[in-house]
Amino acid sequence: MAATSVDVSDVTDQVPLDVEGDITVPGAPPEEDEEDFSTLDEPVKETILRDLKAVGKKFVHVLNPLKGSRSLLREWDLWGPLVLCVMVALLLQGDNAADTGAPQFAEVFVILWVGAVVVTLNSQLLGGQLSFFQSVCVLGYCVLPLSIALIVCRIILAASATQTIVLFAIRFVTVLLGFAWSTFAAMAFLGDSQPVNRKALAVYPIFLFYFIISWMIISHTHSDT
Amino acid sequence: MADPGRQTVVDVASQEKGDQISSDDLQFHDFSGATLSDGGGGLPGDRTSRMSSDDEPLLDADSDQAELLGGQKKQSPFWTFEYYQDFFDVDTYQVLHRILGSMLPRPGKNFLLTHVRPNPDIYGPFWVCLTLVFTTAISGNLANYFSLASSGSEYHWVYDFHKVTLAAAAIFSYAWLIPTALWGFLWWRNSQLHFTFLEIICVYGYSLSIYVPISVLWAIPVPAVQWALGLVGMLLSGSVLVLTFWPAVRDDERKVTYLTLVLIFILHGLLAVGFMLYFFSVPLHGSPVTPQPHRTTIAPAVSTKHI
Repeated sequence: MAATSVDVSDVTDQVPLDVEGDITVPGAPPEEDEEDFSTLDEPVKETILRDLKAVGKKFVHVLNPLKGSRSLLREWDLWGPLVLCVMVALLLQGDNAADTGAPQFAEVFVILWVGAVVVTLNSQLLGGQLSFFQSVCVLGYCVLPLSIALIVCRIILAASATQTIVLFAIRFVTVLLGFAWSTFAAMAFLGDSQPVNRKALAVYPIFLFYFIISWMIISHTHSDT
Repeated sequence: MADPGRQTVVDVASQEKGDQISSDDLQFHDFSGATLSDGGGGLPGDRTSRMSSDDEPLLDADSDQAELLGGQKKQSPFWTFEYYQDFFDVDTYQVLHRILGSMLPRPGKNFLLTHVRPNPDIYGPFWVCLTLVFTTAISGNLANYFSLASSGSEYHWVYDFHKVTLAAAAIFSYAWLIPTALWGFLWWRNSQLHFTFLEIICVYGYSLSIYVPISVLWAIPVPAVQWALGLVGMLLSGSVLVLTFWPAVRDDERKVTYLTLVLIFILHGLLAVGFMLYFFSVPLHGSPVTPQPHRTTIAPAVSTKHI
């Protein structure tokens, strides 16, 4: 080491101890951030409306998957899937003891949620790039066309007491359309997240998931009174 | 010879260090880096062919070596996600190849050794079983509908969702318990081929794949066709199973060998017969039985007669 000695006390007296200041990221607007994060003070109606608008926007995106923006993937939420799942399970459940063959509410609910989770886990284990909740969100939202088909089927079933072949054919075609739409929408959002040599392996479970839901919808008929 | 990514500090003063570094270069470090890479797109074909051609002499000479090479692939601890990703490390063509191989018995080639090693997966068994559960339930409902519709009864047919739960219980127990029993049996008898538990599950899972199209066709309400289909399925995939496990038990006593193979074949057939009898109500005798509706709406009429 060098032999020159430094007087440390001189150095500390001369350096100004001024450590105040702002930590800001250069280029980012500093003042607007505070307004975005403090939503505690806004009226409850505004909070609910904002979430409802986000859910509604995603519904519209599912119905028009070709005008695909990726906002469905970036800001995921599970409200939409929950509403759809509860509605589908309520409509598909068997009424009472007379209809012992139909699934219970819990069975449909579990199939929908566990099914979405299993399909997501599968695509992640195969090496997919999406996060877990993004994938569950997309799969849940894409149940929308099938739930529209279910509502149409219910209307047809309620419209006439006797079910003819023609009415069955209409129901069948409706459910088929809903199935194709759901699968196509899910593939449009999830398709690019897998490497090419495994794409079919990740798409097949999505196909199976919506196929099972479609089967439950088309098999749902009146209970005999 | 030197890996450009690694920085080696050569201290000229110390001779021991120089020796150590030259011996480091000769160890397996570079090789393990190549097998652990998960750029699965380009490499699996090469990796499979290299491993399978190495497998035959390795199995006879030094099974420890094979275990070590196989063990080098799965290095993540079991509580990480990457550990489970190793079980899904397959491509589309591999899965299709394995499904086809499980349906067509080829006497010279062992399904496990040629198709499954060194890369057993859980994707195939799980999704084949799940597909089979739903095709069985759906076809079973369809078969029930056809038989009721053709008999001209006035019942309003309603589907039975609970076939799904029953089919799931049956299929998943078969696909999980039998491989466990077989693996335990092979371990107890000190089988020389060292089939791992995952490989046996993989073989059994893929062997169920032939029943998927057969279960769809079982909806045809003609008993002769249904029995023929069941027989074909049982023979084809049962013989693949027997051919697969024959090398593992052939070194054992004769009686044990034949008993094991016959048992494997029979259990596979029992699964098919069980499906036919329960889900599809295939009659055992010649004449079709009166189809039973799901609900007992006719019960009150019957009970009054008994009084």
